[in-house]
Amino acid sequence: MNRINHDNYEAFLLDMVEGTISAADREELMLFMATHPELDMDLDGLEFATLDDEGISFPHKENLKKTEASRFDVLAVKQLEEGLTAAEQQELDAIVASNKKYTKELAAFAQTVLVADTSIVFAGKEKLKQGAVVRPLWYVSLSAAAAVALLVGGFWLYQQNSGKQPAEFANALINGKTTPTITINPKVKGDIEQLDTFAQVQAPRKTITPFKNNTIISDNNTPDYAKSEPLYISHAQAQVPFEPTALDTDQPVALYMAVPYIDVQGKKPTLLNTLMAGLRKNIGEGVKDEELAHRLDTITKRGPELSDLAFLGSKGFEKITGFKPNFRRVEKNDNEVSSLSIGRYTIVTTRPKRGE
Amino acid sequence: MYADGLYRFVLKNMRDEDDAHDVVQDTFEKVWVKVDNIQYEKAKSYMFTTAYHTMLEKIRRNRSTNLDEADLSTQTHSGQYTGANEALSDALQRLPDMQRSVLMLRDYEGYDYAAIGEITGLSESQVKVYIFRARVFLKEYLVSIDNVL
Repeated sequence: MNRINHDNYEAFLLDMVEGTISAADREELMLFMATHPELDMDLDGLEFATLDDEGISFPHKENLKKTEASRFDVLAVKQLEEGLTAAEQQELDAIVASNKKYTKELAAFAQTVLVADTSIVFAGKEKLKQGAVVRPLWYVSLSAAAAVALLVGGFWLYQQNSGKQPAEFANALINGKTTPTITINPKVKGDIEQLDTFAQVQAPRKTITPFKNNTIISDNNTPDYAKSEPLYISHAQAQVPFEPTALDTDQPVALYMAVPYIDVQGKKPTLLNTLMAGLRKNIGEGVKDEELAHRLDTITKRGPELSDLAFLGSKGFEKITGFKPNFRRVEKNDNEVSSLSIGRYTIVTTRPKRGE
Repeated sequence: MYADGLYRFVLKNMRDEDDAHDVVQDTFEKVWVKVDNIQYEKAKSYMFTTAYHTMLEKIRRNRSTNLDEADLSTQTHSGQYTGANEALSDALQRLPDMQRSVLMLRDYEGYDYAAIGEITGLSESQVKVYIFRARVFLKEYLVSIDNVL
């Protein structure tokens, strides 16, 4: 007895409030409080100091319990969705036969398959058109890979011969060689090989294997002015998606400049940097062609991307890069030799002459 | 090419022709901006994904500005159904948004579970669960209506 004193009586009070105090301790506490009226404790008031849960409880506890879906429902839905195995079909038939209600429910399930109301159509489809075409990625990437490789090669070739004009340079290649080649700087060889790999990855369904027949050779066709860079790419078979003759009909030259893979490679060849500079510099200027103007406007609003070049056509290409594409083709023996000059860059291609 | 399908999908979800029209229009505008980067094979899926998210955005906006309007999905049908299609259409509107969307993508457009998952941002198994629940709900609704009639 007399365990309760001024130093510990509050602990006993707490036990009392929480209802954990023993009968003996309660009796002793009551005695202590009675003999020390100076503490002026309101034992009844203490009981109200607890937080009341106000009787709030979640009203739909039953809904929280995991319920097993009825086997009938599972089978009926599976029948609609993916079909049943023979055993499952037998099981479903047995369930349906066991109670008439399942026949009705099975019929109701069949009605849950929604059928589109084709009488509902969108009025005003014309307003949705913009004139652009969604092109398969393989087409863009293959074309881009081929063109960029060639353009980079041409760029370097021209860089090595900066004293010559593009047309003169192209003519030299066309007239001076039966097997035209493009000189390529060894510094970009690795880039081209990577582009090749990338293009094949992006186009697994196509049999086209760009650059497959390209080989880095050192041959006797080396132009005198390119002797300092004796590496060549014979690209005759590399041009499958690249149709320079299409330039005659104003096909989008720049399609071949689309470079969705540049980010993948993490590299921006010098040529593309140059084109981007042209894009940024000239993008805001007005153009006459309404379609081109619209696309340029769209690009301007959201900021230019390299791949925009793919949809701007030769006019747009000239507009945004300042480079005018020029195309020339001659026949040499059984081959067709073409040169494409874009500003300072020249591409020369060769391939077997087409049949009439 | 996909305008009608998109429009039906959105209209059945939003139940407002003007809103559905706006969503389709917005969808095409967004798609045209990105046209350079869209693979041909995935164009349809891309459009439905864009439409789905554009629709959700619009629904959220509408709800925040029309808090006083009753949600149609909680209303009860006051008249008589003239056929199973009408009852089914009514039941469809009572489904939770997500269940309704996945079921329509499944039945209207014929997408598989994985494609629906891509469009809606759900996992394949979640799509299956939602479709299951939707069909069971519709079945029970149709059975209950049939019992009443």
